[in-house]
Amino acid sequence: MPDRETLLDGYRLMLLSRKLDDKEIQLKNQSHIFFQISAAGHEAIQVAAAQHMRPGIDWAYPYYRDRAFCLGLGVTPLEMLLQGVGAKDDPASGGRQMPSHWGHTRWNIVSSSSPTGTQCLQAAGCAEATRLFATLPDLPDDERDDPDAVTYVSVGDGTTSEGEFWELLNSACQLRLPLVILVEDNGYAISVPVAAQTPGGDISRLVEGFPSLGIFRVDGTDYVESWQTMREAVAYAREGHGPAFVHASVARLYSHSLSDDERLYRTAEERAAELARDPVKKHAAWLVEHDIASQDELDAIAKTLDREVAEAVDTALVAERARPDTAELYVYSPDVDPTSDAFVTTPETEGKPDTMVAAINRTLHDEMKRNPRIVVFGQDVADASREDALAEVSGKGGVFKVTHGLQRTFGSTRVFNSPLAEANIVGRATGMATRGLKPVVEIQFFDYI
Amino acid sequence: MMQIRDELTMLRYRSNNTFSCPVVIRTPIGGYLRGGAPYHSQSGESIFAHCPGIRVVFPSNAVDAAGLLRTSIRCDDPVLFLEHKHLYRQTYNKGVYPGPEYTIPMGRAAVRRDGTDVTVITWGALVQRSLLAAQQAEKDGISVRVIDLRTIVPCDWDTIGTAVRETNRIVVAHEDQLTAGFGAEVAAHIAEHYFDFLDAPVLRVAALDTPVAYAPDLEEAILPQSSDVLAAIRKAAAY
Repeated sequence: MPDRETLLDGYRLMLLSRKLDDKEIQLKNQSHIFFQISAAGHEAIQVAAAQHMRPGIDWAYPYYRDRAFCLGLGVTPLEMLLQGVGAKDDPASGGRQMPSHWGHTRWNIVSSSSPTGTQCLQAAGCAEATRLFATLPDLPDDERDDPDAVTYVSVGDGTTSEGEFWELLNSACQLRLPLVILVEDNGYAISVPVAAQTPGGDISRLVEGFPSLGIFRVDGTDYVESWQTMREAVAYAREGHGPAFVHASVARLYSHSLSDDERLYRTAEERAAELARDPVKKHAAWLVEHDIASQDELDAIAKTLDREVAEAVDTALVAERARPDTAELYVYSPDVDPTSDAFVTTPETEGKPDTMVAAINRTLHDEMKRNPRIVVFGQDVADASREDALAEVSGKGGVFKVTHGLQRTFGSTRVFNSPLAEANIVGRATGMATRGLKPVVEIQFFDYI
Repeated sequence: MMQIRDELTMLRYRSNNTFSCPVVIRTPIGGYLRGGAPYHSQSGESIFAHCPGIRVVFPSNAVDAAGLLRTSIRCDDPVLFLEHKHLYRQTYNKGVYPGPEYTIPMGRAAVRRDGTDVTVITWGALVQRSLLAAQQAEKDGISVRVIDLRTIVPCDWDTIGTAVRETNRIVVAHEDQLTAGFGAEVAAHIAEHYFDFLDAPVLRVAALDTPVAYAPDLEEAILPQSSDVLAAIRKAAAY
């Protein structure tokens, strides 16, 4: 059971999230911001999740409904509103992304996008990086990250229909990755109900066959239950049992976004029933009922939050916007210019001429020797996934043998086969590279990109 | 595709330079395999030239492959490193391994053959085919320069500009399909910036706008050959 301070802080964060959503809706209607998507109805499970994370140590790939989660990690209301107005100092994107597309270096919240599901494989790569930082040979000890970090990734029920969600489960379970996968199931993917896209209508039943997957089901509108479940789930992942899969039933109290009107596809009766599951109201009632706080104390919290939000709005509305002359910045790295004279060198000319495939293979060998952060993976790139075979066989090393001998030389931690799945390869590599590793991956044929 | 187009290429931009993911994706590309068929023969570098945030590298020989792969690994951007399958084991593009510190800057084309009448701008498997065509053209008294772009993104517009000013006749030759191939961008760039230097329309040599079919005769008809480059050189010279 969470202590009093945690219970009240949970309430404060949930209510703050709701107030920010409501304020943003108002700002959108006044054309001060240009998009709004809310967490209303998801707050309890999100705050509970955040309260079991170690902000800035653990890693997070939240999706666009995760306002309360991000507040729980430490993102401030002002920072959120700066993104809404398109301010230059928006820490997530400098005015480049819609609001609720989270990102914050201080809290290890990796920048997120709008296509649902892409975050799944990046999170797998991030969790894999945690393991690689602990196990990569030749990496100086002071360059190794916290080996106990977990990676959080969340999706809505709609995203469980995306192929990349299943590719995540495939790799997460095969590698027993330290991941916390949260499915925030509010019953609708915009206007499409779960029953119309998930066979049987219950995602956690469908995933029961995945080995090492710890499955947790919870009423995600119940804060106390959510806190207890998230505690178990995060511990499961952190202790190395494998990925934790939390299926949280939540409510969608508002339309999908302000570009949607749920009255077009949900009956009045259904909407009324949904409002009765409001997690903020439920937690307030619970706190009073269990003598944790009086109604007056809760009202005082609300009043403080109103002031906090109002101040943040005042600041955001006058914040300097992203300047037009910055539009072309950061398409590429501002630090390393690969077109520069720094890359002009003189070739060595001794030796016998050899083929392009030999040149690439040798370059990979030399670069891997030089940089212990390089990992090579892709389908068939290893010499043999079954290492014990290497005593007897020469090894595959790619369908064109471009990577031949890399695994034998540098070991299976750095050179390994991936599933036959192109998004898996690129998504995992993206997650690893975000952590500072250097993946050099192979897609077997351009035709399959 | 979505992981590359929406994620890998955009992470740095969309996060305002707070996150980055400098992955190198190596991938075999291209045809001329005899029997490669629609799904082992594709080109398509122009698709990624249209995705800001990723470098597109396309070496034509062993030494460039070594130098550009090393630059790709040591740079801080995502790179799509395109390895032409047909070029993996040819004799004409072999080279002495240039050493463990050899790098080539991106965006610097190589002039494979100098000439004064016509310039062929090309890359990948068409480099050798263009050189053969240039040798043939020489017999007709046409002096042909052949430029190997080596990297599509960034593109060496300076070397292209110099060639237009000096030879005034341009052929762009690539293995990818004609329509919206990167040759279209090169031709448009030249038309926009060097119109007054042109003595002939910019000609393009490219694959037909079809998939690459399996039967060798079909493949040969679909993919550009040396004879196609030669015909374009002659046409440009005669204009």
